[in-house]
Amino acid sequence: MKLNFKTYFILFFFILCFCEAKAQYNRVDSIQKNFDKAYNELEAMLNGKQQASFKRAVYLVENAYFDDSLNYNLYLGLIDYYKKVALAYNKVNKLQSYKYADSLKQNLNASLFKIFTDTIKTIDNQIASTPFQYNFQDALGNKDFSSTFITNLLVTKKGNCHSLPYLYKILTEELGTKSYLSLAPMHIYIKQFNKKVGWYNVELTSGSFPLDAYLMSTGYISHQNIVSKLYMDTLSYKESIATCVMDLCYAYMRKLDTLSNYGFIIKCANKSLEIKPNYVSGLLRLNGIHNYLYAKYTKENKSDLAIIHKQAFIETNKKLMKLGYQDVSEETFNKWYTSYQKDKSKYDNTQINTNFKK
Amino acid sequence: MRFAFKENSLNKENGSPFSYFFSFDKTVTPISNLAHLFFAKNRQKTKELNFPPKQIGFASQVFAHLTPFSQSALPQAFGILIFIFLVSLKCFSQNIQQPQTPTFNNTNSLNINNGNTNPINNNPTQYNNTVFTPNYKAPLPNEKQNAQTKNAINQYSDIKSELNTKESKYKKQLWELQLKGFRFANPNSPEYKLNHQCYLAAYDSINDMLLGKKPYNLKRAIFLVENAYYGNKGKYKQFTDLIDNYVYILKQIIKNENLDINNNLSLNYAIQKLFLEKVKYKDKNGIVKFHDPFKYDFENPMGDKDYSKQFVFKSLIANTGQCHNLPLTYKLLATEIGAKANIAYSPNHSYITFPDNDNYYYNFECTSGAFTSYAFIMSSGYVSSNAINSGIYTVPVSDQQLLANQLNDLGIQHLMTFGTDDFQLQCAKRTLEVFPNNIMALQSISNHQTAKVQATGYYLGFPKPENIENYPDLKNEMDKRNNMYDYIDMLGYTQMSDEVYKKWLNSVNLEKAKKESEEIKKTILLKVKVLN
Repeated sequence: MKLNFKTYFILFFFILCFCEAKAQYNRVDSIQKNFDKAYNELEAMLNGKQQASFKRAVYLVENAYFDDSLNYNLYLGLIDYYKKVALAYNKVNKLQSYKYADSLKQNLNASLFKIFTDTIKTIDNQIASTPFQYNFQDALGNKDFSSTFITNLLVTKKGNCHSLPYLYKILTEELGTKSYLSLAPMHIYIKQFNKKVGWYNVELTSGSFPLDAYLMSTGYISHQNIVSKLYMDTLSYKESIATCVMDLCYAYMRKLDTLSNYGFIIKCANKSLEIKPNYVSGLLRLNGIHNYLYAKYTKENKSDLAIIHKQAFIETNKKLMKLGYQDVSEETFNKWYTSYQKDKSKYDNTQINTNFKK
Repeated sequence: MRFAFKENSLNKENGSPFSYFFSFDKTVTPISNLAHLFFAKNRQKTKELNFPPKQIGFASQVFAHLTPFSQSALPQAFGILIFIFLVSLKCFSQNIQQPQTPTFNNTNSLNINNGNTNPINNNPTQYNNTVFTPNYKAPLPNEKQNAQTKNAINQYSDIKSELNTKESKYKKQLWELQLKGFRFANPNSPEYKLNHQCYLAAYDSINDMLLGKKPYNLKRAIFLVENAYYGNKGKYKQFTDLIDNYVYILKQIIKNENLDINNNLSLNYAIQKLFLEKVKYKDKNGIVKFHDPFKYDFENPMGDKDYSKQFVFKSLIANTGQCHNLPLTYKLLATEIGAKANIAYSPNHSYITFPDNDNYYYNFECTSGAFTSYAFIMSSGYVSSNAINSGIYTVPVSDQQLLANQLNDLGIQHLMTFGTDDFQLQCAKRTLEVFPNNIMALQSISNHQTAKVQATGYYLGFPKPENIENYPDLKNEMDKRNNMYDYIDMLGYTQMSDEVYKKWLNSVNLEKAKKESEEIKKTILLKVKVLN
């Protein structure tokens, strides 16, 4: 039988469709597999079966989003590079007028901050590193979720309030100093402690050390939020990894663009809440998914299931109310951030000095 | 299979920076990645990136291969592979250290209890001999560091002989020391002998209230503390009569203004009226009288010269006061008329915070009559979020905690009248048992410890900081003190000098703050008068 061009074309089209459908099925399956793998390792870290490492936890999330194709060694290598630059800078430059017992560590922190905010040159006038900047185009990762990733930050040098403090935390850990993540409405920043000032904030998105008042100026953090440790508390090492579990959850949702496998989402939220019971995004996610399921089951006339999810929805709502949570829209966040950028010198903590001797 | 990955974010943009990261052995992405190495169109995109650094040490030499990313693709692919291999060698040999997290609730981690465990039984004179005499044991020589230890021993013997002469020179009692404002109590002085018993009695009865052996009575506790200063010469009835008089006026205010007794806000409004305005009232005999508002006592507000200025007794009689006694007076009056109000602390300061029936809290500065918002308190820059988290500032103090704080007040009063002593330490520790992270009690302990360090230093002839290893006693005391300082700093404490404090007090009167205060006042009025 002779086949002309048309029949070839139709046959080809059918094969293509078949492949497409099968691959689509395979895709969901493989994504689920990757995310499960990452979740299991994170869970092992949280249960103490595996040594907890924030660096590894962040990698696991990003690797799962990139279909298990992110090169771990290259990731480690890039972090190691900035560590080396910081150490080299620290070796040569000494802080001006800081005479306290923790001066060595403070020197390391200051040099790391310098690397985040300034261009570093070698003696031969070669550029060793350029500053990390705030990504004003897609700060919340709406266009491309991967713009909130550390890997993106390491390569493009542009990050947001998620990737910048995460990288800073990883690097301080590498250098042997301490830094803590701290939460705010739609925002994460760094808290550090030294003997001169006590606790101070590091805002890497603007490259400054603001006072607590700058966050209070949002008007979205109440006194109750701080007392209940919802916001502005220092996260412990385990709690920092719990935030990675929630990141995994969000990455999963962005990857599939559906709420079809809500089991995984509930699992992630519950795990993070197990470690930090007043974790905002965990509670919000749980609240959202129960609301969705309640609506879904009432449509399908499954009243038993609907009632269960309704109750869970009300419970999480109550918890959020108790913690004094207020909803913050993206618009208000952007408004606040731009207004903060305008008069950021007003909120500067002048006690902290990062000037090096010349 | 290529079609399958259409939606994948990776393949959407071939020139994506992430292509650096994807290993080539996977079946998932290699085609697109390698393709974009070869296609000239995509090169420009990669050039724009600020990819790290040229030439610094080992790493950048490898990067130097990476950066151009244009001339020939295959050698670079090899370069990347070699880099991965080398870096993985480097990175897997690292040890990851876990940072420790700060904990706020664990007061046991402190060395508070390590000193004299039972201070009340220790006579200060005995303690004088046992604790502060230097320990002359020579350090044990270590075989490995013979030369070093020999030197150290030689030095040590020199110091020892020097000290022997010094000690005989300076053989004084502890209480004779006047060190940088730290005064030790003299147990032999006639005042001490007379009044110390009153302090012990006051301690016991307040402690009984805390343990539940006696009924809770804040009024009596405050009276006991202040009466100890006067050697138990005051009469409780006199104190209660003064308060009853105010309650009598308050009841008239409530009656005249038609205030709702069930509304907590209106009850507090009545007290604030008494504090802020000239109130007309009828005597028990029917004579019309006026009550002047409470005023801030600008003379010696800290009570350095005359400690009795801090007393509630004084504010009740003289109608003036400062940030210690005015809030306490407010609190006493509130408990008498059944209003809910709590004291809260900020650096070197205390004020009133009271809820409405919906449990929304308002702050009232008794000293200036201003209503402040939390944002304002925090924007002063002296209350950090860590301080609120750890519960040292701005958090409403419960009734039981306030009672416990009276013990610490008793200890500080003891310090102000006689000098520092184990009694002060005992009071502070008991307060901390009921009211953990009470900043005043923690400061009291650290001050006592500082005095101890100075005293030991004095007996050892103030050795140089380099030689501190040779004085284990001094080092021990200093470590305890430093631990205490570190812990207090960790809680978010900020120091506020007198000057800054005055500035801050004035800032309450600034226009913006005034506006804010008036707005809050208006809302309270609205809720009290109109909505009821």
